[in-house]
Parts: sequence; structure tokens; C-alpha cells
Amino acid sequence: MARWVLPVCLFAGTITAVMLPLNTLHAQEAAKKTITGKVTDDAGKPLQGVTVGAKGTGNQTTTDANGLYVLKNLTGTETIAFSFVGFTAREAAVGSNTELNMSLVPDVGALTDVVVVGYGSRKRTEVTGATSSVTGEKLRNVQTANLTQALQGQIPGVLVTANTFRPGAGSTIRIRGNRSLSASNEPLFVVDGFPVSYTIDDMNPADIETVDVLKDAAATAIYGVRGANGVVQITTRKGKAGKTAVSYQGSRSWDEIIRPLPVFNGPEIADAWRQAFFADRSYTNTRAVATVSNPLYYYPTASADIALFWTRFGSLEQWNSIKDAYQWRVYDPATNTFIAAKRATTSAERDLMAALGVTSQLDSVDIYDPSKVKSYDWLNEVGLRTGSTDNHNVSVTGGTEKLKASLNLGYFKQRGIEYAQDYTRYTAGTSVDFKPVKFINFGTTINYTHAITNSSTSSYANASGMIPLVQPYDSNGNWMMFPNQDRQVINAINDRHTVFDETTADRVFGNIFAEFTLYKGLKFKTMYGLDRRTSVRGQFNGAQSSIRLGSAANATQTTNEATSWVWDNILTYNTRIKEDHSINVTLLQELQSLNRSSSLTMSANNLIFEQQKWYSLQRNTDATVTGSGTYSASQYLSYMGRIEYGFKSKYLLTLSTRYDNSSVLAEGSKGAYFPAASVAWQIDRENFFTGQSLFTSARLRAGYGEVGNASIAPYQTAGPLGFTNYNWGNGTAAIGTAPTTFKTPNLSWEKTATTNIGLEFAMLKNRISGTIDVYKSKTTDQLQNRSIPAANGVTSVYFNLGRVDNKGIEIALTTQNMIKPNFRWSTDWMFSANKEEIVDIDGSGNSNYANLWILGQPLQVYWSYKKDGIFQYGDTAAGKGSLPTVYWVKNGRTNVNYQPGRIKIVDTNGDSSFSPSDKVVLGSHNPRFIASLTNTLTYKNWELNFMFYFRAGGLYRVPRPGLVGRYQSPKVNYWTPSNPSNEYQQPTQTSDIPSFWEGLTYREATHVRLRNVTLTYKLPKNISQKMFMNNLAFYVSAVNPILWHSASDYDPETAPYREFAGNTTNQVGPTSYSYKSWIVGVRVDL
Amino acid sequence: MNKKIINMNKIFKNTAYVLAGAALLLASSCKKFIEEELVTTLTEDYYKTDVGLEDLVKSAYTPLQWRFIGEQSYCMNNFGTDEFREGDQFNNVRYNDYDANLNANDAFVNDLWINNYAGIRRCNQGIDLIGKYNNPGSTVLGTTAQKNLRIAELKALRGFYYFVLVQQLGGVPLVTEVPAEPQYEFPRASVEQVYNQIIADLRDAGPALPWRAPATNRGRASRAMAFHFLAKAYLTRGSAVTDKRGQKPTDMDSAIFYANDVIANSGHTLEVDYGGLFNAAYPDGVIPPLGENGTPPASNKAKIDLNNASNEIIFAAQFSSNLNLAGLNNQTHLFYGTQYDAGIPGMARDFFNGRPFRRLRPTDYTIDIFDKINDSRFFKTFQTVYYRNVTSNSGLATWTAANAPNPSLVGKPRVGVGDTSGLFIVNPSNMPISSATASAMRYFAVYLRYRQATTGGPITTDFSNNKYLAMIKMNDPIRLTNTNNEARGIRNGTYARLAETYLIRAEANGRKGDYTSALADVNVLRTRGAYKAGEARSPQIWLYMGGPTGTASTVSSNQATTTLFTTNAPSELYPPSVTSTPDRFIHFMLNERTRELCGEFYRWDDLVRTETLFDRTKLYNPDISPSFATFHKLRPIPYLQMVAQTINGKPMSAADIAAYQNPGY
Repeated sequence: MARWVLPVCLFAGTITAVMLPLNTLHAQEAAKKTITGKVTDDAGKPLQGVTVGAKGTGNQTTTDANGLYVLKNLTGTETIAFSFVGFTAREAAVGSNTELNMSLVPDVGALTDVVVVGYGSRKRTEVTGATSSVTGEKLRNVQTANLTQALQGQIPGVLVTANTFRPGAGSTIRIRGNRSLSASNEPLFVVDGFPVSYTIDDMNPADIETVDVLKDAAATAIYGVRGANGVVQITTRKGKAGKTAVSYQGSRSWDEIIRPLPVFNGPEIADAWRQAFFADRSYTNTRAVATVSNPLYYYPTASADIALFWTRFGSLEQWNSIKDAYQWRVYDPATNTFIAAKRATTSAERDLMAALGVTSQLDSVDIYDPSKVKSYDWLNEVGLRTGSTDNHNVSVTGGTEKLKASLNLGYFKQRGIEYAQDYTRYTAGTSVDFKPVKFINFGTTINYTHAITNSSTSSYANASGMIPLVQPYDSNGNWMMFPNQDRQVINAINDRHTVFDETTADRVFGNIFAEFTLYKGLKFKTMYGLDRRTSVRGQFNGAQSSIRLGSAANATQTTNEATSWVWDNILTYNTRIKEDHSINVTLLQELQSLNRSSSLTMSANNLIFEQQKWYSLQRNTDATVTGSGTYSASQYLSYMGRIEYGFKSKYLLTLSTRYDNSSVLAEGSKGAYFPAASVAWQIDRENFFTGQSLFTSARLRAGYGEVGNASIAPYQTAGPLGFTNYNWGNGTAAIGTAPTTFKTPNLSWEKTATTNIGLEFAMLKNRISGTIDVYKSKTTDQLQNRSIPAANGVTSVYFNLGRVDNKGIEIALTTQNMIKPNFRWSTDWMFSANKEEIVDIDGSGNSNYANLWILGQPLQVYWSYKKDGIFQYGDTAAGKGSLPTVYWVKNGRTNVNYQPGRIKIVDTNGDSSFSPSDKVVLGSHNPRFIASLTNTLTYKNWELNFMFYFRAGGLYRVPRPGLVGRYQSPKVNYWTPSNPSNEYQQPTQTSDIPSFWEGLTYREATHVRLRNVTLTYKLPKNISQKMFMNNLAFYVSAVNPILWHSASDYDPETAPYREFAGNTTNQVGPTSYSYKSWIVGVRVDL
Repeated sequence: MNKKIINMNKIFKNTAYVLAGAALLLASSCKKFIEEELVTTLTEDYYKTDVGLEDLVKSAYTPLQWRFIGEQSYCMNNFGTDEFREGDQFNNVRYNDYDANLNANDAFVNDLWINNYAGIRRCNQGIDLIGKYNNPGSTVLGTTAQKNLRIAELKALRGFYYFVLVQQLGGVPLVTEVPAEPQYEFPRASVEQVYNQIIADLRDAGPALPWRAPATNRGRASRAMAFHFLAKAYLTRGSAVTDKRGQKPTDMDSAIFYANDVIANSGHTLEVDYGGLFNAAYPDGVIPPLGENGTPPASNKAKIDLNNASNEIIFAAQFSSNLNLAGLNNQTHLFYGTQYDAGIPGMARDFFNGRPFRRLRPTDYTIDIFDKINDSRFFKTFQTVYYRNVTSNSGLATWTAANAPNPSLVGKPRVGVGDTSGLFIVNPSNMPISSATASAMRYFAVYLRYRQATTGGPITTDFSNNKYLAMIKMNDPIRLTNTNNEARGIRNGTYARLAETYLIRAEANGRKGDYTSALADVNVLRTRGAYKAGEARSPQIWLYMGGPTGTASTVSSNQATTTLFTTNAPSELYPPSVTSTPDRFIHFMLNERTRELCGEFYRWDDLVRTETLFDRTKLYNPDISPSFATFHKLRPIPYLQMVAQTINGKPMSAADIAAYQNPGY
């Protein structure tokens, strides 16, 4: 028996409040009565399986095939609730009625919600393209700073990867893979019908009502050139006719790091340094290369330690941390006499040293107890703090049929887990929709954001590089710039007071529109939207900082001004012919001024006083302020036509075409048509459908469309010149202009054609509902900034060449696992897999390794040395090892890279030597699939929501350890003569960056994350209403509390894609530190 | 009701009018709407103007900077030679080791290729467009003379860029015109063809250029520059014995002719004092008396400006001290320093002594080839004294009652601020200094070239890959900003100075057997390099080297004679394989080039030119690896360039690439 109620109610706060009857607080015993009625949809069609029940009693029933129900044993004081999957629940008081008919309207968030399709919105049953939706409510279950983070795991086909985990930072969104080699792969964000030109992360997630993602070309083609990478449509909260609703939501979180960095502690770093010197035969009394009179040691030896830890940089403090590990017979600095107690060696030790050629310690070694080495925990002591986030949002909505208005206010402040990093955002938004007469409707929406991002140098990264044998402060508590006297090891903890990088951004995003009903079904709408972002970035480096190292302060101020606007003129005609035929026509003319932007940067060195920061830069001892500026603008002019035809609401056809012109392309190639066609078949309206009971509803869609991409930098086609700096001997500037590329008069659009087939269904009386989409896209005429022979005098030119394919499958399921009067459990399942493949680059059938474009591989490919391990003694053994015969000596050459303890890679080309031609494809940064699982359990007034996020496959890179005997390093298992590790090479002070180090950096990125757990308690209505509130809910939540990942000590999401075509010394690995949050919050609806 | 319908119609009509009007308006302005407006960007249309062409010419100079803006400077020109070996921080050691890591994927050869062809294209484009430019009204390019001047500059630069390429890479694609669209076929020209082009360009350019660029335009190509490199190109081509460079019997005469023209007629003159070229690196100030503090040594920008403006310099890449004009700037000051800022008490990193990257350390050959007693160039090339610059006395050794020169000094640091903290003593091997002598010295750190712990005991050295003689010619104590670690220097990057013109003429004469003329030129430099009467010099000369005390002139004792190469003179350290006088003369000239030009980024080319790279490097560079082979006289052709190219319309196959590549790589 389907005793269940609606899974998700979008407008929970406001709608419920509006509809709540204010009488009947408690039931009275009275005469039993029976009520009957019929439940239909908004078209009058009977609905079968609707739950009809008396609220709070457990007394309920369901409607039959004709939509009829009978509910008995009532007192007349009850409220009857009608609920059905895909429809908005409704309620009515029993009162004196004996018959209660009800018509339910389709609900957003389910199979039959309203979808924003671009230049209009449609019921889901009318949509023929592949779109997925998520409600703001659902997004907010995972508390995040911004929309892009919140989307992770919510929508199949949408891959969300954090840019960084710094406060305020957003994520990169990829919809159905990457498709452009050189042009942008960013999706288009559209807010309330207007494309957003700048970061969507300025927006307050609390203001979001729904998010609709248009994924296939049939859906996005109406956005033409800007829709190639998918479209994320955002609808903000608006006023509604009816009661005024006020809601408040507030929360506070405490944030801490997910994966603390593993670094060497005091005794471990001492060992690693000794090894590095031993490897170069200079773990000796003087650090010079061992001789007869300057013996080499293998085991810790006091005299060699003094040379290594004390006299090398002159750090007595560093040596003092080691000192107590020895037992001193004489310790007399005044006479430079240091004699440590010794113990006899074991035979195993003697054998080892003999094998290593160490002759100095054979009989006895200094007694050394590593547990007595002092160690300072930089990471925890001075690297991190507990982060926090405060979030307050107020929303007021209300209105009448003629005038609707809303006001949203938000405050968000995040203190990062690293020192001197924070993000503050103030948002205010208002919208008005005015309908003075029946045929005119106009309104405006304005959103304003003021965001301040602060950062300094990374306190955690710096702490992770500090030597644990010394402390940040001297005995007087003063900060020391070089704690162990090594001028390359800079203590940056003072940077939190002296290094600032502050960006203040003001964003105004608004629009104004007017809609005229010209004739029955014929409407004209004109709308103008403006997106303007100004930001000021101030960077200041004080003298006492890791950046200036005591030199006078310097500072830079950068202002950015960017404006985009869109003007749309839309004519729509909507009619029905003989009831069976529905026709909807949309015509559009659109002008876009895209990102007219300018910037100005001023900077100065050697500031006279520090409190001025980046203001009054002219106050500097150089009397020089340097400046630079930029300007850029591009425009689009477009026309679009769309016809939607429906027959008996059973067969639906959408045809559209768009004609786009872009200023960034060459004269004569500026314009192109982008057509699309899609069909849908409402299977459940066929007669044969009624004969079965497995499926409740079913719908099949198919679409094909083409979209374009011209998102390359402006001014490329006419042969732009670059500016060169030079000067004549007396200081005269000689600024030149040089060609940077060839003219590209034929440069045109990159085109993506997508085919998509989708099935939407509900089965087992709506206990299971879902969507399955399969798609294939082909992106041709790639806009490539391609390398050409440099003998041309320039190194790259834009071309239309090459092809990238994407194909994939997306599944979204919702299951109602348990439905009991007081207990409900539902699960949302999401799965998506995308395969991205470069099919052709330039028609030659060759990969382009310079750009890391490899045929048959995705874009973010890892192409490098394949790790084989570490060279072991066995490899060098006479007669059996590979080294002596193959690698060690070849053509009379010896190579230091092939000795025991060095990195061994796979000789993939079999030429018996290691070289860049041994590089192979190791994998990609892309996941094989992503999936998520969200459970919602409700018991009486309690709700528990938790979400798992899976990311399977793909690689990422971990950092190169600094095994050079001078620096701190991530803790790794390195090779030593007595520890034949196969993980990392032997430390050596002469090989800062060992050859083939890249091969050791790749790790499987597969991981599972408990993304969110939220427990909500709603105060019972009767209590909250006594407090003059319609709703009062408290919740506790944990975001990202658990990460399951064992391939490394890092969080894979913190490591962005980095790969290099050539040999490089560039460091790889995580660039920020992910954190988990513990949240408490409250929601109030008045 | 009626009224409403009328209203409706009216609105409908009005809207239609508005729409139609708007549509019309838009239709006319739409084309304009999507045109690009160039605000901060220029296109090649700019080259239709005289200002644009002038700016194109200026841009042809910027690739000159590349040699000096990074580690390629020493890697491609000083590593892997007889003069320098590895310091203890060597990120690009492949250029010294010639191991498998020096291969076609190397970034420096690729950058060299990109950089020089970018320069060549700008020259080609300018030569073409200026030749076609016709606007008598122009004040800058109105006359034929004005146009010819700029074309000559560009030809001189083009010749220069090809000269650099051919010496490093051998025959390279010869591109002398700007293609209309991207080209993919770039067959390599022969070395001979490239030299013909270089010589033709430089011969064309020279006569149209003034002998020296006017002071306001210093740094532009001049006739002296063109003829200096012309002489060098002839010498290089003509030096080939086994290599095929298209050498002609007249090459030496041509080299002499053009070198002579520069020396006689250009107006460039030698600095009176060798140090006048580099003295920005020499300390100002005086050493304080014992027990007192003075000031740490410093330098000043005026000295750098004077060094840069020296009339001896014929051609140099210009670097600006103006932040607005700065790029990566000259970074060569980083690479030669020793680690004076660790291990020498009283010393911390400062501007004057520079930021020591510790890449290059002189070989024994380099130290030994100088006559340190008579030739001032040694102590003007290498830094032996580090003056204390740390003001705090903490941890510094003090005078005790036992060793204080007078009782008032007891308890005071043995070295005051500005006094000698660290001392490198370059004593000869036959005059080792005892450990006892060294430890009795009052300096905080003493590094002996030859130490003897006990009388008659083994002789060791204190010089190491961390503590060695730092070459200071490139030092730049001012730099672009006064941030402690500022890497961007403001010293110009010298490509040619008159002293080298003398050496070119000397070598060409000697190769013809005219040793008298050769020695005359060498001795011009030796006279200049000798100590003048009264000139202060390092006390090491008489304390530890057996030289005379006092400040008498060493001009006469510093003269070269034919016996230096007609016999196997031990002071010239001839390789054992060198036995004939003509051969010894070549090696003598290489020795003389070390004495004059050591570290100035000529050495690798010189050794390749004289076909001595393998023998001399193998002999004198102890860090060289066994993989060093004769084929290393050429750099690899960059792989990225080969894969971007085609042959007969097809991408290069592995066999094509092997055929295109220099042998051995």
C-alpha cells in the first residue's frame, strides 16, 4: 500500500505558510463522518494513486483509476492533505463538506515541474531537450559559500572541481566533458534569463530558487554561440501573490583541515639530512667529501652532526635540538671539545658499513637516541587555526496579482583555516513585477554584491616547509626570519601581519523588462540586462615578510572595471488549433556587449612608510610608480527562431535555429547558423500504457543540435602586434611593436553537434522515478591556438581544425524506500560517466605533444614517465642486474642517474636508456565516472539528510619531496642503503630535483566523500505558532566530514591538473587545503 | 469594452511601429555593432605608417636580450668548456656533463630557436616594408638615406642572429622573407649557405651605418658592430680545418681587413684600465683600523652607468633601470658567485656581493693561466676578499690576550665591519701555506688554494664547489629594485668590445703566420692589463705568490713573446696533443682569450670554432662526464620545431627527424 507523502516540497517555507489554515489546532471527539471526492490534474484529467489523508492522524487512502477516493472516520475538524509525486501537495479543511474535489498542479522538482528552457519556461512535459533541475532547497542542504561548490554531485553530467579551497573560492564546472582545445570550456550561467559575464560565485546561494542545467545541443542551441558548453539557468526567489512571507536563515560553522600534511618531524628530518650527505660521501666532520683524514660516517655521529646542523648555517638552536640525543662525556663549547659516549657496533652494522665502504665506525658508534631529538610542530602550532563561517540571510516576499515584490539580504563571512585568509560577502537583491493592466507586465530585478577577499601568503604551506628542529620565535618571543640561519628557509609566520592581498569587488547585476500582450497568445517582450563588476585589488608586502626579507615594503593596486549588457527583443505566439494541436513560436533578436573591460595596475617599490599599504604609492624612495592598463571588448548580434508543436500532448516537436555574429571573428566569417531539432513522446498517454501497472509514467526524448563557440580573446584575426620593451643606452625608451601571429582572415566558429536520447519514467506507483540520458557530441573546427614552426618568426596561429568527441551516460533516480505515517525515507541516486577523446588535431593523424593534445586521449591528459621503482643493489649486481649491462654503461657512457637509490622508470621504448621518448600516457585527470547518493529520512519533526559523493578513476599528482638535505619535505619512505624502499629515491644534496622525478608523482584519484550530513528539527507547528512563527527549525550539519582515499596523504580534490610537455622543475600537487565544517543553524519563517 | 479594444489596437499598432523602427535602426547599425574596435591593440596595419615601421625596427633589437636573461647564458656559452666547472647548485648540469639530458627536448635550444627566428622575422619584415615605404613627407623615413639606415640596421641584426644560430646549431633554415601565411617546410641550409648569408648581410649593412650609434641611440647596430662581427664571421669560417663551413683562403685576410677598419676608424677605444669595464663590482670605501667598525663595501649606479657607456663596448644588449621598461633583465650576475653568505662569519647576503646561485666555478686551468703577479686582469676578474657586512658582533671571534696586537683590542672582534671577513688565497702549488699559518690569521675564514697540514705532508685545497673564486665581471650591485633577492640586473649584456676585435685580428694574423702582428695586438691588451706604476694591488702577490712588494709598473714583464708558443711554455698549459707552433698559437690565443674575456659568454663558441672543444674540455674540466663526445660541438635541433614541421606536406617521420637532427642526438 502506497502510504507515502510528497518527497520534496520546494516552496516549503513560503507556500506552506500561505496555505496553512489557521484554525483547527487540536482535534475534538465528534461524530464520525465520511468524505468523498475526485482528484484531477490541472487539465482535469483524473489522477490515480494520490494520497488523501487527514493530517496528523494516519487516516489515509489513495485515489482509484478515476481519481475517486473515500475517506472515513472523520470528525470534521481535520485538514485533508492531498499529495502525489510530481504535484504540489494541497490541503483543505473538512468543515461541513461531505465532498471535496481537488485539482493538483504539477510540482517543480519532480517529473512534471516547470523548467526554464531559455527565453521562456515550460512544463517539464513540454520539454524536449536534456535538462536537469535541482531546487535551491536541495542545494542548500550542503552548506557552501557559493553555487558552484553546491552543485557538486547534484546533477548528472555536471562535474564540479574545486579551484582552490581558499575562503570564497568557487569551483570549475564542466558539463559533459571538455570539448574545446583552445577556446573556453566554461558553461554559460544565466540568471533570470540574463547571461552572466563574470563569476557566478559573487551570488548568494540563499537567493536561488531553482537551477536548471541545459545539457544537450537541442536545449542549448537557442543560446547559440554561448551555449556550446552547456547552460546553467538560475532562477532567483521572487515575490508571489498572496501573503507576505518573511524568512530568516542563520548558521555558524567551524572548519578544520581534512588531511593534515605529512612532514618529517625532528628525528626524521635529521635522518634524511644525514642520508643526503652520506649519499654524496660528505657526512663527515667538515661536510667536505670524505678522505682518509676526513672520514665518512653512516650512523649518527656527533662530530658530523655538529658540522651538518650547527656550523653549516651557524644555527646553534638547530644543533641544540639534536644535542640531547647523544650522551656526552665532554661537552665544552669554550674549547670546542665535544666527545660523545660510544657503544660497540653489532656485527650486522659492521657488515653494512663494510659493504658501504665506511671504515671509520667499524668498532663503535656514538650512542644516539632519536626519541630525544626535540621537534617543533610548525603545522599545528603556527600553520593553522580553526576556521569559521557566519551566514545570515533574510528574505521578504509578497504581493498581489498586480504587484509582486521581493527583498533578499545576505551576509556571509568566512575565516579561513589558514591565517590572514578570509572572505566577506554582503548581498542585497530586490525584484518588482508590476502588472497595471491585463496586457502589460513590467518589472525589474537588481542584485548587488559587495565581496572582500583577503589573503596573505599561505601560512600552512610555509609552516610545512619549516625545519622542525627550530622554533619560530627566539627566546625573547621575537619572530625570526631565518630560524635555522639558512637564508633559503624563510619563516613566513609574520606575513599574516605584513603581507596583504585584498580584493574588494562590487557587482551589480540587474535587469528591466516589459511584456506586452499584443493579441491573444501573441506577446512581445523587451528586456535589458546589465552585469557590471568593479574590483580593486591591493597587494602589500611589508618589509618584515618572507617576500621582502627586510627590504622596504612594496605594493600594487589593480582596479578592474567590466561591464556587459544584453538587450533582448522577443516575440512569442502561443495557440492551440482544434484542441489537439499546440503551437508555440518564439522569435528573438539579441544584442550583447560582452565584457567591455579595462584595468589599471599601479605598483611601487620601497615604500617610505608601511601603514599606507597600497594607497599613495608615490611615497617611495625610488620616486617611481609603474603602471599598466588593459582594455578589451567584444560584441555579439544574434537572431533566433523557435517553433514548438505538440499533438494531443503526446507527440512534441521543437525546431529552432539561431544566427550568431561575433566581433571576435574575422570579417566574412563572423556569422553562422546553429539549428536544432528535438522530439518527445509521452508514452504514458498511449492506450497501451494503461494496460500495465509497472510504470506509472514514461516519456522518451531525442534531440539533435549544433552550437558554436567563439570564446577566444578578441583582436586575434587581424594580426595583432605585441609590444616589446627596449631602451637605448642613455635610458631612452625604445618600445617596439612586433608581430605575434599571422592574420587569420578565415577564422570562424568552432561547432559542436550533439545527439541525445533520454528516458524519463516513474514506476511501481511512483516509488521509483528517474531519468536516463545517453549522448554523443562532436566538436569540430576547433579554434586552436596551434604551434607552428618557430622559423616562421612567430610560434602559434589560430586555426579551425580538429575534433573532440564526448559521449556519456547520465542516470538520476529517486526512490521512495519507506513511507510510513511518521517516517519517510527517500534516496536520490546520481550517476554520470563521460568519455572525452581528441579524435583529430590537424588532419595529419598526429598527436601534438607540445600542447599535450594526444589522439584518443582526453584533454587533461597525464603524459610522463612511468614509475618502475628505485634502482636497487640487485639491479647492479654483476651478471644479473639490468644496470651494469643495459643502463649503467652504454656506448661508453656512464650515467649517475642509473645508480642504486635513483629513480627507475619504465624503458617504454626499449632503447635501453631513459629519455623523454620514454614518456607515455599515464591517464587523465578526468574521472571515469562520478556518482552520488543522497538519503533523506524524516521521522515526525526530525529530518536527516546525508550525501555520499564518489569520484572514480583519473589521476592526480602529489608533490615532489625535497630530499636534498637542506629543506623540510613531505614525509616519504625514501631509499637508503639499509632501507631498500621502492617508493622514493635516496636523498642527496647534489640532486635537488632528481631526474625522472615526475614518474613518482602520479596517484589514482578514486575517492569517496561523505559530502554532507544534516539533522534538522522542526518545532511542532503549535509551538512555533505560539512564538508567532510559521516555522522554526534548528539544524546541525557536517560538510565533507569523511574522505575515503588511500592512494596518498592528500585530498585529491586539492590538486589541480598540472602537466608539462617538456622537462620541468615546476612543483606539482595540492595547491590548497580542503576543510570539513561543523555547522549549527536555524531557519525561521514568519 | 470598445474603448479597450481600440486601446489594444493602438498599442499593437504603436508597438509595431516601434518595432519596425527599431528593426530598421538595428539593421543599419548591426554591422557596426559587431566590428572590432582597436583600442589598446594594434594590428599589422600599423606597419603602413612610418611610426609603425620605426617601432618594428625597435622590436628587432629585443631578442638580443635573451642570452642574458636566464641560465641559458652560461649554459650555452660557458658550461661544458675548459674555463668553468660546476658550483654546488647546478640545475642545468646537462650542459656541463653532456649527458643524456642534453637532448632535443631541451628548453634552451628551443628558446634560442624561437628567439632568434622572432628577431629574424622582424628584420625580414622591416627590410621588406621599409624598402617599399614611399612617403617623402615622412620626417623619419622620408628619404632614401633614412630608409637605408634602418634597413642596414636590420640586415646587421639578421646577420648577427644567424651567426648565433649557426655557431650553436650548424646549418639552420634560411628564412629571408616573411611568408604570407604559416609555412611548414623548413629544410636546413648548409653551414656554408648560412655563412654566405651572414657575410652578405653584414657587408651590406656596414657601409650604410655610422661607425658608432649616436649617444642618444646607443645600442643600435653600427658599422663597428657590423664589421666586428664580419671579421669574426670570417675568422670563424676560416678557422675550420675538418669542419665544413665553406671556408675560403681569403677568410683571414677579410677578417684582418674588417677588424683593422674597426680598430683604426671606428672611434671605439680601449678602456685605459681593464677594470673600467667592470668596476661597478669593485668596492668603494676604506678598510677601517683594527678594532674599529667602518662601513661595508658598496657600489653605486653611476659606476654601472659608466661601465655600460664604456667606449670600448661595440655592441651590447641594452637593459634598463626603469621599471616601466624592465623585462627579465640581465640575470648573469647570479651565476658566478660563491656561497659567501653561509660559512663565513661576519658575512650575510647583501647587494654588493650579490645573490650567489653558485652555478659556475673556475677550473684550475682558468686560475693557472693568468700571470697573477703581473697581469692585473686576474684580480679584476675574481673576488678574493669578502668584507664583513654583518654589524652584530654576536658569535664572532674576538682578540684574546694571547693574540691581540695591542691590549686595548682584547675582547673586540678580530675583524670590524668593512674589514676582511673571508679571504681566498690563490697561492701557487709550489708555495703551499701551512695550516698553522692560516689559523693564525685574524680573518674569520681563510680558504687556501694549496694547504699543507704538516710540513712535508700532503697538499690539499680549501677550494670546493661551495667555496671558490667568484668571477665578478657580471656583478650588479644595483639591480632593478633594492629587494634583497632581486634577480633583474641593469648591466648591459656585452656582445662585442674592442679588445676582442684586437684578438680577432691577432688570431687571423697568426693563422697566416704573421706572429709579429699577432703579438702586437696581444700586447696592446697586455699593456692595458698590466699593473700601472703606483696602482694598488692585492698583498697576496708578495705575501703568498712570491711576487715583488710595492707598486711598480708590470707593463714590461707582462708582454707576450713568441717563445710562449714557439716552445712548449709551461705557463701556457698546452694540451699534450698540441705540438706544432701553429697549433700552439691557436691554443695560445684561446689562453689569451681566457685572460681577457673569461666568463663573458664567448667560450663555447670559441672552442667549437677552433675545433678544440672536446680536447680542451676533457682535459681541463674535471666535472665532465664520460658521455661527452665530439658530436657535442653542435647543440640538438629542438624536437618541438621538428614535430611542427613537415616534409613534402607530411609530418616528419622518425627517419626524417633523425636526418634533420644533428648527428649524435
